[in-house]
Amino acid sequence: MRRVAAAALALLLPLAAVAQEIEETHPHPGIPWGKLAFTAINFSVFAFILYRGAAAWVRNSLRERRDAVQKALEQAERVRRDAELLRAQWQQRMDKLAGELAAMLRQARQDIEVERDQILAAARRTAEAIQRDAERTAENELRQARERLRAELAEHAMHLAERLAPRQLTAADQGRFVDEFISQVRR
Amino acid sequence: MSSVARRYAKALFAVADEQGTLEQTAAELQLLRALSGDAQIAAALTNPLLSATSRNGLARTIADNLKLRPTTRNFLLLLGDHRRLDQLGGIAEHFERILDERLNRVRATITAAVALSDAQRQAVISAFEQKLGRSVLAETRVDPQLLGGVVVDVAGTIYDGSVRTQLHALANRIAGGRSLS
Repeated sequence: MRRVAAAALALLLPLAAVAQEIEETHPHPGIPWGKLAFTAINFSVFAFILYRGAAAWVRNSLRERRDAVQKALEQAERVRRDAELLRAQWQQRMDKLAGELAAMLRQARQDIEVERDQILAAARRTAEAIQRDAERTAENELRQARERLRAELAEHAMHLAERLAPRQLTAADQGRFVDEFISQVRR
Repeated sequence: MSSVARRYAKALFAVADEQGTLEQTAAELQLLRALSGDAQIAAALTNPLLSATSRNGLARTIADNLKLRPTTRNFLLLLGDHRRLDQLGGIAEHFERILDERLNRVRATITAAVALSDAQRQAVISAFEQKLGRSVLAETRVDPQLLGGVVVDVAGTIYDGSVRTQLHALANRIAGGRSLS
């Protein structure tokens, strides 16, 4: 069939060329059938050559393009499925995470309350200890001040008595002291 | 007091007791004791470089000067021979102690802020004789620092009735915050 078409084209091309030559050498009014036929045949030859030469390449290109698109679609589908799976996993984790977070928050609140109570108790104990120490220190200082005052008072009284005694004590007093001493010895 | 002094004192006491001259011997020993208390004489009595002749000469001189009776004089010479003149003080003290025990008496020192009258002194002595059941050989002293009252030292035991001590006790009670009643 192809051979027949090629032969027909081979015959038609010179015929069309002859018809065009006739038209140019012997012009007449009306439709230029020869030129028209030549152009049509020329275009048909061009189209045939084009078909013979580029069809395979175009088909291959289209096939490759289709395969690439197909692969891309399949790849995209796989990625989409993976993404869906990942999303589901993450969703699951997020769902769990919310629960864990709530549990953690509850635990943290409980821990904070326990720690707060412990801190408050420790602070209370510390405050009580400080108060006790302060009271004890104050008592000690007061007692020491009292003792110092008593000691000073006693010392002053002693010095005063020692200074006054020789002048104030009479012979009768001295006699009375001796008598008291004797009665104590006899007791 | 050394055991040497005690042995010599007992020996002398036995001799004096036999002769019936305990009091005289004790008095002479007290003289010797007072003499040996002098620094120069003590140095001479204890000098180890003195020869036996010199020591005897020294003892003889002391005996002559103090007009010691033969017993005490011989005892002194014996101490010189035995190089025990340095023990005189201890011997006299122990002799006195043995004599006091024999006579059932005790020595006391009565110290008062002002001089005691004879009656007061005798009253104090009587009180202690009654308390101790022994006669008291008392020596009296005056110490104005006592302020008032009496302090009696009986063989190392102190009976303190001085105003100064009472004032100190009062001051201590005031300082200690105790009731004064």
